[in-house]
Amino acid sequence: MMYLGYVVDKELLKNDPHFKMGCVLCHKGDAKAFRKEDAHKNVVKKPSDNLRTCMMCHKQITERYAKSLHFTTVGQRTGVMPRFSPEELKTFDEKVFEKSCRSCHASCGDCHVKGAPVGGISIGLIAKHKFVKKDEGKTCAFCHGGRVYPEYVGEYGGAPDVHYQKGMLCMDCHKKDEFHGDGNAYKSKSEVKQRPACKNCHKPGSEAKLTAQVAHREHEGKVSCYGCHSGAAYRNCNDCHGGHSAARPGMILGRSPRDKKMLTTLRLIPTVRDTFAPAGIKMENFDALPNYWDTPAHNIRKRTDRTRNCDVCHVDRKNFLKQETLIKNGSKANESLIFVPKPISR
Amino acid sequence: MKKYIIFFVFTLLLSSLCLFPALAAPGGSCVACHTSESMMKSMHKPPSLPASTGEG
Repeated sequence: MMYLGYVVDKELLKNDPHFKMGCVLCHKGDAKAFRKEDAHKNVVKKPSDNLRTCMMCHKQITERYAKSLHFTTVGQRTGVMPRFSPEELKTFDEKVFEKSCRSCHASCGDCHVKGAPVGGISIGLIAKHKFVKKDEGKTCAFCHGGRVYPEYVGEYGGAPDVHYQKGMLCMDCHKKDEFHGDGNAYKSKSEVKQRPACKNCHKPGSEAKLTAQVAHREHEGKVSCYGCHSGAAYRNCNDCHGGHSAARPGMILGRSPRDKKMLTTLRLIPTVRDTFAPAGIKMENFDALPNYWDTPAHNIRKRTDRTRNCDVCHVDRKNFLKQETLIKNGSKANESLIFVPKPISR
Repeated sequence: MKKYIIFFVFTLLLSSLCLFPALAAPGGSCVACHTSESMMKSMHKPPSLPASTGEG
């Protein structure tokens, strides 16, 4: 059935302005040839990989998108570079980032025309070459299908995120300006201004129950929303880039590496000491960063064991990062993420 | 011999009537093939997958 991913809807050719100038305007090749090999000579499979293609008509959006994180993927570089010496960073840029990490960049077509290939497989044209505004299940779900999306829809075990149950998909929170960018070349997603925040919809003080209002007031600035409302274990990646993937479920509560005053859900990330050894990079400053990063777990539930009973955290320390649960041979920075909650006076 | 010539010319004319409109249409042979499910089914070769992990 994969061949259906290459079939174009005839009706689009009559009505969609993208097709007025013919296929070869974007795809090149030879529309007059009879044989497939001749027609496909010099064909461009993904014209929007070169943003100038879409820029012909969508100048403003494309100029902004050229600097957005979905296109530059520079966030991946920013996230790992403190581990490198200057020489190692140079090697990383030449041998790893451009050739491997960068392959995750999304062109315009990856979201609007044809599903991005993941592991060599693509679903093909999203809607028979219609230029769709969005189709999260065929776009976001593929590139973010290792962690976030299956957690969100409940495919990773546990209940789905309550927002999914209410009929919300990715773009109900992640607006198009977040993807297209605002013209600023951010180095990391934490710098992006238009990111979704729970408080955008769930205003503090508007809770129906007094207990919820009190709990939120007590924990404001100390515990993230996910810390209490992440509903189930999520995927943690142990050495996924080392060729011997060991992804395991788990919920980990600890200090956010970005804000040590905040308790939040942490996710084990796949970089281990020999991750870049095949490229000749030892990571001289490996211990500069922890192996756990704050994660906005996309498996939100209103009621969890933590919201029902304070003792789950304050006495049992259930799911809290502890010395004995730290990964073996991990970064020395991991210890700074351990959080011991204060007992509650009754 | 005359019959063969007539048959050949007739076949040539018939092919032109079928092919040229397809090629003359916007998109040319691209459209002729890529709007046909049966054509795509006959020509598509599934990719051989490399041994690699997916992104996630």
